[in-house]
Amino acid sequence: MLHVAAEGFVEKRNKSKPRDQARATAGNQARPVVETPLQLFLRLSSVLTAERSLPADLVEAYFKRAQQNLGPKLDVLLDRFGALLAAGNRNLIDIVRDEILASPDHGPVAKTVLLLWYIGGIQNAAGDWEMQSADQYYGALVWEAIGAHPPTLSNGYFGHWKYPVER
Amino acid sequence: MNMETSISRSDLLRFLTEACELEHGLACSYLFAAMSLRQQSDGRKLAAEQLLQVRQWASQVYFIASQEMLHLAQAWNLLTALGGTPYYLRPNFPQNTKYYPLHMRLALEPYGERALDRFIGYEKPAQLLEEHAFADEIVKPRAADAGNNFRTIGELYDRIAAGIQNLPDAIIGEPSSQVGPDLVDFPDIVRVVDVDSALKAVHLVTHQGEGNETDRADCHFGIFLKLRKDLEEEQRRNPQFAPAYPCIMNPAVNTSENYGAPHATQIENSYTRDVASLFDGLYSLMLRMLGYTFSPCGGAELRRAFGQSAIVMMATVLKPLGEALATLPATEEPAGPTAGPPFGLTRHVVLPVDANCARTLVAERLSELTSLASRLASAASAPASLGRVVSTLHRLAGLGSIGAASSVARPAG
Amino acid sequence: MDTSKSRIAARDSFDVVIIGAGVAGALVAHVLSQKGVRVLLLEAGESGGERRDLVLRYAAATFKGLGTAYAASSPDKIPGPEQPADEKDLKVARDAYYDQQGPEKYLSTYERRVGGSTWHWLGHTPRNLPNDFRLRTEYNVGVDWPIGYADLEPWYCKAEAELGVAGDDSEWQNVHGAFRSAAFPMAKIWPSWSDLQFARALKDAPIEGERLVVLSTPSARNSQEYDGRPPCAGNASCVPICPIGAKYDASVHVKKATANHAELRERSVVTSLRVDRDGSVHRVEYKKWDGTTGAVSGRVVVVAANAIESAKLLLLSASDEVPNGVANSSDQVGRNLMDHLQKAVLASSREPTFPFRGPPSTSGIENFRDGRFRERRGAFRLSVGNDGWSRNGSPYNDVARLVQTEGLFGEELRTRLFHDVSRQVRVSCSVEVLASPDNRVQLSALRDSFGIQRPEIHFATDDYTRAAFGPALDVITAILRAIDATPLVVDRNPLNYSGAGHVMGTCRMGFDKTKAVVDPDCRSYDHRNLYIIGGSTFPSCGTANPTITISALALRAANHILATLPQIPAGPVERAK
Repeated sequence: MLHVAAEGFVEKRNKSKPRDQARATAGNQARPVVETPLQLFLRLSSVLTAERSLPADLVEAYFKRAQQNLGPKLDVLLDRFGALLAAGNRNLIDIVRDEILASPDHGPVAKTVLLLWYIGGIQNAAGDWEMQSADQYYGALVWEAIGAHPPTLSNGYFGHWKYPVER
Repeated sequence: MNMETSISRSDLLRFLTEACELEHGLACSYLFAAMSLRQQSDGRKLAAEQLLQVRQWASQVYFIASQEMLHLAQAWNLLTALGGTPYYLRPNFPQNTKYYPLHMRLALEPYGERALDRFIGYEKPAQLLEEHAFADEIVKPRAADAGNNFRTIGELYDRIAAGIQNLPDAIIGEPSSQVGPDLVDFPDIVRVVDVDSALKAVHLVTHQGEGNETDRADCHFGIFLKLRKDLEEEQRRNPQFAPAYPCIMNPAVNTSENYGAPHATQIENSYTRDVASLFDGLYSLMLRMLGYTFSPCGGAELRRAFGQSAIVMMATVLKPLGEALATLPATEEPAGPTAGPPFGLTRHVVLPVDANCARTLVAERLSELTSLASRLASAASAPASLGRVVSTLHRLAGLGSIGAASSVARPAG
Repeated sequence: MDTSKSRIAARDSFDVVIIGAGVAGALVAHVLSQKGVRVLLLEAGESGGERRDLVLRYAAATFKGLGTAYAASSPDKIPGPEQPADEKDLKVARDAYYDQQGPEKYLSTYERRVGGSTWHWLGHTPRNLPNDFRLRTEYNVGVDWPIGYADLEPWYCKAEAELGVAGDDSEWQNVHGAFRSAAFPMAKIWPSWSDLQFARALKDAPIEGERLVVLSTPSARNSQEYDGRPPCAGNASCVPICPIGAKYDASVHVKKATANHAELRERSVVTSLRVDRDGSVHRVEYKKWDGTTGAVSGRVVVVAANAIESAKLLLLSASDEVPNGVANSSDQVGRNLMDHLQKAVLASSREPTFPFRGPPSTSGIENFRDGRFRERRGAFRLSVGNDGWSRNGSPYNDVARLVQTEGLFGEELRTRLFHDVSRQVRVSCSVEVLASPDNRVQLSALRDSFGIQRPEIHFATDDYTRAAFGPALDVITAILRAIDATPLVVDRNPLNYSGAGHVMGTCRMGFDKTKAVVDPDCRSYDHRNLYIIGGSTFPSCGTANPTITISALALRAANHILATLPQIPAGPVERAK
């Protein structure tokens, strides 16, 4: 399963980073390197979802969807996030909480991204969560988070619903 | 088939232990294949429609594996009814082809055409042996063993059934030692208290495995045939289709200590090896606990607690751990083959009859394994499921004596 | 063009023409074709799509309703309450098709496709109780069926074997007197963790003086490999689609029938049944999706198109010979429309119950399905849900709430989400409805996209039904208290209910031909070669999901057709040379 680790994000033309660098966790120090919008999107998503690594195909698909839906607001958010990373030496989680989610400009945008990861959809005016593909429906994080699975893909066999779930 | 006219009790016990080895070996083979099936969709390897297909196959193989475990449990009831004790030993993988008269080579192999062909061969009814050409795997019985031969597991059970019917006073075990659904979560298990129930138990096993002459679609044999056909069709549609992770065959934590199986494949990656070792440790503990439930030990409370915990462990610990092992690298090459669960049996003691000793041994061992699991779960490359496995183990261990009133519900619905 | 006299070719002449390839039609087709009877199945809908493609369509869809997976291939598809012209209109499909005349809307729908509504049903198969067949005799309300539980019992057993029903023999022997003469074909579907918590809490907590027993609901859902279909793997999507075929749907019997040389003509909407001068009905006319028309002839004709479409067809076929519609000398066709009316109470339990796993419901409480109270008010069945608050948009709106309103993210979001959702429970009641002549299906002046008159529906609940909701909700709130769960809201308004998807009544059976449409064998009193089979024949509806009763009646009627077929002549139609 091709996941990309947020820290060791590998673009197709780069070589993979040495192991110990790739093992850094999400709540790490900021990096001095300028990152592309996609890389920033991945990093931000990683912190928002507390997932150390995210599936590459969903990262790309959601980045596109977020661009389409949020337009320049996404660029502004990612610029801000990038600047905060470059500037500070604060914990990423604090940065996201205090500077991004708490911001009236950036908060709603970041929340849309977070919900996209959790639900696989973006809410439209009618209140429906617009789905784009079966892959995104199945990859939505909400199901595993609640100890279940996307309906039609149980990943279990007969009788598993009898046992309690661990968290 | 050549049948002896008088099969002694010790013959019967021997046949039953052979049946146990086979059911146990099959269960592990099937589980390995099910655990090797891919879990997630990834644009490159598995599109959503193939993921659906693959997970459906996994459900079916897991279900068959669960029935094999039922068969093993049923064989244990038969053993204790005849005056014996539960038997869970078996050769490690890969097994020697000549070890059983059937010449079945039991091995751990990822899901695919070859694995399915082998599974079809295992479950094939004797009547069909001549018709189909899987002759490599199922060979004619050795002439020297004329008194002892059987070509399929079904024929082995036929001998067992005949033996039970012809042995005077066959059933000598205490009925209270028999395990029913109240002690362990096998709703269909038959308590063997007389010849009739013994035959019913044998019939249940053979019917689920090979069906009968007119109805093979719903037995294991029929299901594997269908799975094989579905796989071929899927591969025709998409030649790049790879339903399983690239697991090595017959992985072992340590081939030099892997008794009975010198030709296993050593897991080289040290982290993966530790996780595999954890798996083997939990697997062995689970077997011993289940064995305790089936032993004529008395003490229904502890037997039930162990039986419940063992089943919970199978579903919520061994399954996710085995699936995780199927994704972990077998070597230092991250893009190389993956490992898979070894199902390695190593030296251990059968749990003692004394309830306090048994409890102590289980609690201590569980605690050791939980610590190992915690350590492994905190590693950066730890699979996500390992964290949940640790929680489950804590919960099981935290039941104190695993005999106290637990939050694990009783099977009575 | 006067099609009523056009020739019918030999290839369009059948022993039995069955209208509707839902569970009733499919079972009849299967039984008859097995015996070499020449059968035609006419279906307005299509078979449409590999199961996997249907599932993927569902997965990718924004609006996930009953009909989502089954959006048809072609824009000019036959309309129905789940078949809008445009997929985007799925949400409003029902009222775009029904001409709802009220005062209350009829809320239940059905699928117009090969296999019918069994594609999207939950799969529950509890039988009707003995007293459900004799409401008038026992409780002086409603009407009796002309057959009793004992008459239908052997057919229930056969139906359970055909569909593949999983249940617990020890739990279900003699519930409210419903004896069972055969074991369930399969062991029960395992109860969920949630069910076990309810059972434990209720074991020592009598409610309204009664000990409530949580029973596994018998279901046409495999608990082992059966009939070449896999066991349930807990995909939790039964409604609206089982991705693996573990849940029975009638395409199973359609396939068996066609394997035995039954002919299936799909995309064929029957527009008229013609009555001959001698009163028999042989000629069946239909219109295909591509606009062409056709006509077939059967020695026997079976109408099995669900209660609304069957009644509609009979009324549509009015002619000079039968000004009130086919089979309608009693004036009961279309009347006595029923449904089971449901209310759900969502609650938050103190201890987690881990919903969204397993079939949406695996257990129920049958205590209140019968009793003296039925002299005054309706009975109800209770079911325990495994689907959390999905009716309220969970789990999506839980995530949304935690993110948008509380600003949670990361680990905290995950922990809270799990905490909240893992405690979601649902208990529902399903209340019986008495037949009323004013609850009826008629022909609307409005036409559908095929130019066919739409069903005009009048529906209203009465005091008998409304008076059942209060006690049902009392029991539910007491149950929730016992399990230490806090209800979100308890809506006691008897006009706020949901439909169960149980479309029943409209062609009721009875002894008296002035008051009933069909006799106890499901044969029309007016036309002795016409059978009407399905939920439409129910004179009363009890509280059980109707499918297994429909199936039992279908097998029984098929048996009757086999017995009488030799005596029924072919119709007065010419055969092509």
